[in-house]
Amino acid sequence: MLNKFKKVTLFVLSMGLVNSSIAATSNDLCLAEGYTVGFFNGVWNTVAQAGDGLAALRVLNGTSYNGEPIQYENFYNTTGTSVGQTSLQDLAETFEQRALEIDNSGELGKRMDIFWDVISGDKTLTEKLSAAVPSYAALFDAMYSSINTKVVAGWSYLLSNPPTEENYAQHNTRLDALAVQRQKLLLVAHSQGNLFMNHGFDFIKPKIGATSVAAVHIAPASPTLRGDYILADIDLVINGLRVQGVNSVPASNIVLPLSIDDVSGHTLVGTYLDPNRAARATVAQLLAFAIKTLNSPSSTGTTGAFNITLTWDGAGDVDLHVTEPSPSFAHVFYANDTGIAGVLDYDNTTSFGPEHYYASCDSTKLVEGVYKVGINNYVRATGRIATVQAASAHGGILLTKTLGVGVERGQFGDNSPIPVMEITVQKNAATGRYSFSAK
Amino acid sequence: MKKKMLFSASLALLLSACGGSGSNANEPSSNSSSDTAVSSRSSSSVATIQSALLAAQSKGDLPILDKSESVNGVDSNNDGIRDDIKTYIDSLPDTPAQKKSLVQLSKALQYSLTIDPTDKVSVVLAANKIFAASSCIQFSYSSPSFASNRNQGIEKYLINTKVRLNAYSKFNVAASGGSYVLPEGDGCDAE
Repeated sequence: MLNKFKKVTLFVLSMGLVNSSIAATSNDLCLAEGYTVGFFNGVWNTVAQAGDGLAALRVLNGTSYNGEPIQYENFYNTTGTSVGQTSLQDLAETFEQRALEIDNSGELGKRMDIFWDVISGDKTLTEKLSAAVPSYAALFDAMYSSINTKVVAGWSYLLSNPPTEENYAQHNTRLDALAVQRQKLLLVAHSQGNLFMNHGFDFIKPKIGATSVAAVHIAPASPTLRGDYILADIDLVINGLRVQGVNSVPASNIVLPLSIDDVSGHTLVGTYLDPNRAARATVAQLLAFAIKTLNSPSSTGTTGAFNITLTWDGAGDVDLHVTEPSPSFAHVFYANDTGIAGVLDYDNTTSFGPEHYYASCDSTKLVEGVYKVGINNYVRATGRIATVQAASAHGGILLTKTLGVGVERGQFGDNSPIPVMEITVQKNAATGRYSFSAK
Repeated sequence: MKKKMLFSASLALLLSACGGSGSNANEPSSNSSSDTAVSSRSSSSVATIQSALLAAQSKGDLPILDKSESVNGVDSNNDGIRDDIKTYIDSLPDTPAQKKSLVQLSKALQYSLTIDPTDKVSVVLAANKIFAASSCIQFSYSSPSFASNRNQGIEKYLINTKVRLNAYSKFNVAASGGSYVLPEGDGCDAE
């Protein structure tokens, strides 16, 4: 028993507190049923670059369709998170080495602002430096080439060693939650993100139904497609992959003029969303066509002021337990699916999940206080890994935890589920706003 | 081999960071001379590149950045934004609302450098701040490409030393696998 306890503890990967707050009126507590654009970002994107790309997509695609809201969410991935992949630090070391050939004092190599220029292919500054001293041009070219060689190596590694199910777990759980909450899903990927999107699409399609999820590929590096795509003839990154033969890629299907703003012809905002070139209108058309095909899922779940979603990685029955705040301390689980403030509207008894609890959108029912979330390995799930995700309607994911499900305990575990997280709901008396936090 | 050589040659022209948007469109004016780099060219490679960089700074092609060893750098008034970044933003010919959006991103990125990357909740909070700021920037500029250039300008000038790059890289790796929503509305001033 102690060993099982240790196992559970070991798998708890994250703890802490995050807040989101929304207005207190019942209409504001939850989002209306609608669309979610799930964006899978490109290779080497930082969080800021992914956020910038997603925001630019929203400017293009708008915030509502057919009178329903469109939410925008980034399913973030970055290159270099697994053993064998090239990290930003690896690229920086190459930059430093090459910089020594230009400046043996080492000062140039310390300038990471110029490193960012090099990895983004921005030559604005280095060409000015080369113009001042032409002998630098070849050295800077060699620096760009070296960095790009490292980048391609990292990309090639990813193509030949795709992400594992563990890498996908959080994304899968979020897709499950959105499907349960009857969101129509428009998945959009750029560059490397197409690998991740394909997996997400294949994961959620059987659950949500083929008419409730659609995919749009931008500059796909993936060998297979799940929807329409755009690939520019000037996209040197994808052309480079094609030439090198590291992977099969689709044929280019749009001819674009070159632009000094993005010499790669590959960036999302710089090329494919560039207002001065035709790709932007094509992307808009692809998004408009795809969203038009979407119908509401047949799922019967409900979105709440906050939601808890439980999934696990195989067969068995793992149960979600939520104990609501005082004074009721209502225990919501499979045998008592309705509490004072919320409802367990999905109970899976066979495999993978999801199980889903939502807190009421009605401010007269939503109870302030601490909601305690736990899980129980009811039967046949020993050895499984569970993912528990809390999200607020307006703020997205509050907290995700991954943990072992512990020993099989049947109904004897109903009264002592494994503690996973706590959700605190507070209402500010002065502003009338609710806040949601998790730890 | 030929394929690889051709590939490398083509990549020499391009960027690889897929979210990038190319060159910075900002072109500050300057009265400074550009002769410095050329005049020192023959002295030594060290002097030449450093002179060229100084000339670029004088011309406004490069801001003068805080290159201290600390992650935080100098924030003399403790307002959450480094002094050099604030000076850079103030120097831009942008509207007050646009500059405010850049300040918001600067503070969000600065916050991401200071958190414990093993604290997943802080990682989510930092990512949400960055997403809100990125949203605000896109809403504040009429051109999405220009907005993107501004976003990346802040990022590269703020993450300008190895110690800051290492901290930022750890944050990005910690954020990988998660999902983050754009705030409803423009995202401006979200905390």
